Order: sequence, then structure tokens, then C-alpha cells
Amino acid sequence: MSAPFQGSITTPYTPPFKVVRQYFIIATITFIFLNGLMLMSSRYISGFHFQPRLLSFAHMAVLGWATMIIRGAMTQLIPVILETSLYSVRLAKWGLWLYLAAVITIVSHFWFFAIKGGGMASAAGMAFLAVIIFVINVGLTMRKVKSINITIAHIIAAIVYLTVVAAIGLLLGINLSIPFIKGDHLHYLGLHATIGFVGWFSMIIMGVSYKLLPMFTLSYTYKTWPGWTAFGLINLGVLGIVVEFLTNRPLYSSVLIVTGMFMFSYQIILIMKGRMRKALDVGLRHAVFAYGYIPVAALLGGLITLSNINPEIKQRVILIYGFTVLFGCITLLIIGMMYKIVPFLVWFHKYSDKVGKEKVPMLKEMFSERIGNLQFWLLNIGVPDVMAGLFLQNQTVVAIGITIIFISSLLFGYNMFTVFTRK
Amino acid sequence: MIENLKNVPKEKIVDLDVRPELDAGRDPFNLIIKTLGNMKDDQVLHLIIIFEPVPLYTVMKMKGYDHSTEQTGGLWHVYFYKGEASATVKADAGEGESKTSEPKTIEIDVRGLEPPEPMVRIIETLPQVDKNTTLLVHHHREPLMLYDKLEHLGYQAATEKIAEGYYKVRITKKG
Repeated sequence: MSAPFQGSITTPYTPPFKVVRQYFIIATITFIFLNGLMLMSSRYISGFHFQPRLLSFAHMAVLGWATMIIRGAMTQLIPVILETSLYSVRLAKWGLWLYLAAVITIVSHFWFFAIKGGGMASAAGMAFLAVIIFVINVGLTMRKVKSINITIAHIIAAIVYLTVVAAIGLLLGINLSIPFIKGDHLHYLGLHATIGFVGWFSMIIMGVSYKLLPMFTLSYTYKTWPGWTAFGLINLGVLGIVVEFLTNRPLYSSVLIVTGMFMFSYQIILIMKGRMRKALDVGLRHAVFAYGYIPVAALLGGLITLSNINPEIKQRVILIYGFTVLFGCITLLIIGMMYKIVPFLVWFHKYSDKVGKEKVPMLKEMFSERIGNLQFWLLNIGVPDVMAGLFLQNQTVVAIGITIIFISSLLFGYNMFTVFTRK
Repeated sequence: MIENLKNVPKEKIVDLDVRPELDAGRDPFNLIIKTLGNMKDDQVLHLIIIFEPVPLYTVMKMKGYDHSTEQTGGLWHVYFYKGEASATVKADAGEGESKTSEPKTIEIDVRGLEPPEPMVRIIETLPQVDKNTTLLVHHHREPLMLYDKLEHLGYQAATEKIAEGYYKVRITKKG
């Protein structure tokens, strides 16, 4: 044997791809289904936000698409991010089916607005339980982590918020079946949505970005103070929103959140400036555009909470804000990261054993980058189009935008299908 | 002078002593890149510096430069040259020595390569790794996905972080 040397002897901990793949495939199908459904009933995407169809779309997007992907991706990425193995593969596996059942029940109850009986309450209960399973799995994995870095701090905050969002969701679900909340249901809904968007999604997106973006672009020499500042500001802002909710006093907490979002943008600029891999492939182009939508969404959020615009305009801005967060920021980032992660995972599980024995495909041959590019541009035409249509309250413009996004989602689905079924 | 640069004529070597820059409290990076910009492809940059400029290796690698490093006293002499394509396998030990039980090291540099190239290069080099051989991989990150693969193929790895964006992975055959 060679002389002893420094460094850690490693242990195997790649999670089984079968489980991760199920999350990814289900989420991708949900995304296409959501766009198809929105296309067929685009007339409902207008007006006041507390409407059965809109609530159904929103939950399909946040639960069935975004959170589904994040759960699957976290199962896969935790070894990379935390440099330790996942606490339980079985929890990830069975959590999926409970979660899927919960999402389908919630979305369909909203769609038909079936609030009589205990259906909505039990759906929210299932979702809460499925979230707790995920939180426990991530939380117990975290226990093995020795030192905190910026990504881990964000993930801890994210799973705390996710638990709170699911708990408020449970209360709201019960309240729809058996009204017990004193005061305004919509007041609680606002808190549920804010902590979901600003707490859960922004924390998880930022935390994972700080790990993956430098990894994909080979960027190492940037400063991290803007990221930590963003972390502080946004968490303080969310705390302020909770205090505002409890005391009913305006504290202008959204100023902190909006500033925090801009600090995040600055951090992303620093990472991108310091990168050594200059070329941006289709995955990274998606990510860069997603980061571009974040300050836009932040400004819209600021406009909703801080300005005195007339209520009718404000209602439109709320819809535009929700749409921008879901389709601009979150969807673009998810698609971009999937282009980076999924082909490699499939390659790893199908071909890495054949290296040196037979010819293996290159990563670029796993899917069509041309279709990916077309899909990218369609998405980036469709999203601003819908935003404009919502502002102008023009049903035709909205419908055109959603049609374009639907076509884009089909192309994305085709690319993912090619990757997953490659022989 | 380092072995593989012995045949390079003196006039092809551009000397750059960055000690004055460092003494003045400036980052020599820009000067190095500027000097490099004025050089031809067949020229060699001879950098004289008071520490081993490890992060620079990665930057230079991305620009297509390999390096050889020599330390004398408290001084580092680093030669950057456009050589073979990246990740060329070079064995430390010469031919014919493989029959002896002298431990030897095979080095490959996969920094900056797009996935899955790093993994492909490593797995392709594995057949050359026997009981007396260590495969030393210069990597831009800790190759977590590789470990299971190595385990499966009967190898083990130990990783040492040198700097952000630079890891040394030592792979040996098990048992």
C-alpha cells in the first residue's frame, strides 16, 4: 500500500435513483397537466384571487410541481449539499405517495370548491403529515452536519417555514370545513401565501443556488456577505410580517424583504462574475432568467404591500405577482436545474458502469439542446405575455400567453421523456 | 530546471517575478494575466513567487496552460506552458519500473471539465491502478457520486481539500 495520506476515507451514500425519478416524473407530468388545464380554463385567471379555480391552479403549481420537484431534488442533493447520507430512503419513498394523494385531494377539492364535509380538512391534514415526514427526514439528516454554511442555514430556515406554511394550511383547511377562526379567513390566507413564497420558496431557492450555481459555473472567489445580508433581511422581514399579522400594525416589513431580494440578486451577480466556465448552456440560461424575475417579483410584492394603489389595480397586481413568482422565478429555475441535474443522473445510473467497456453517450447527447432553447424562448415570451394580459385584463392576451407556455411545457416534457427513456 | 522543460530554448521563456508586486501589497493576478496576453502559444511563462499559487493553476488550466512547479528555499518557480490537451495521463515512474514494488503515482487533472468527463477519465484510468499504484486526481470539487462507483469496482478514495475549487483525490485498489 502507498504511504498514509491526509484526507477523509469516504463511504458510499448515493440515494437510489428510482425514488428521485418518481418525484421528477410526477412533477413534470403535473406541470404539463397544470398548463393544459390553465389553457382550457384561462378565463378563470382574472379577478379576485380567492376563487376555486385559481386556488386549485395555485396549489397544483406550488404543491404538485414546485414542492414536488424540490422534495425529489433534496433527496438527491442532500449528499452533495450536506456531504452526508439521507436519514431514511424509506421515508422519502412512502412520503411521496402520501404527499401525492394529499395534493390530488386538495387540488380537486378547491376545483369543485367541495368544502362541505371533512374532505378539505382531511386533505390538508394529509398534506401536513406528508410535509412533516419530509421535514423529519431532512432534519434528522441535518443532525449529522458538523458546521453551518450559507446553504445549510437557508435549508434550515426553509424547512421551518415549510412546516409553518403547512400548519397554517391545515388550520385554513379545517376552517373551510368547520369555520372556527375568529376574524378574516383571507387574513390568514395572506400569511399562508407570504410565508410560502418568501419563507419556504425563497429560502430553498437561495440556499440551493448558493451550492449549485458555483458548482455548475466553477465560481469560487466571490464574497458571500450579500448572501448573508439577504438571509438576515428576508428572515427579519418574514418575522415582521408575522408580528404585523398578530398585532395588526403596519411595520413596513416588506421593505426588508424587497431589499433582501436585491441583495440576493447582487450575490448572484458576484457569483456569475467570478465564474470560470463562461459559456451558459440551456440549463444555466433558464437559471439566469429566473434570477432576473426575482427583483421584478420583489418590486411587485412591494407595490402590493407598501403603496396605496386603488384596490382594483392592486387586485390585478396580486395576480401578476403570484404568476411571476410561480412561472417566472420558480418554474424557470426548476427547469434550468433539471436540465443540469437529470441528464447527469440518468447517465450515471445507465452508463457509468459501461465506461471503458463500450462507447457511452456524452451528456449533450442525452436530450435535444435545440428543443431546449426553443422551449426556453417560448417560456420567456409566454410569461411576460400573461403578465401583460393580466394587467390589461385582456383575456385574449392571457390565453395566447398560456398557449405558448403550454407548448413550452410539452417541449420540456418531451426532453425529459427523452432523457428518462434513453436506452 | 524541470525535466520536461529542459529542451525549451531560453529565449522562449518569459520570466515574471511578482515579488515587487506582492511587496507593494498588490494582487499580482492582473499582472500575470496581462503578461500572458502578450505571449505567444509556444512561449513558457516562468513565474517567481513566494507561495504556491494554487488557485492560479485552475485559472491557467481554463486558459489551456499546464504547469510545472519547483520549490527552492522560500521561492516557488512555476512554469506555465501550452502543452498537451488537459487531463493527459502522465506517470511519474518511467517505463520498465512497473515490475518492481516501488509505489508509483499516476496523476490526472480533470479540473474544469464538464460532467461526466471527469468521471469518465477517472474510470478509464482505473485499470492502470494496481496494488502499488495510487491514482492522484486533481479535481475542481469533491466527486461524491464517484465514491459509490469506486466502492463497487473495488477501489477506495480519500479526498483532501486544497482550496476552494481544488481537491486532491487519491484512489487506491482495495485489499
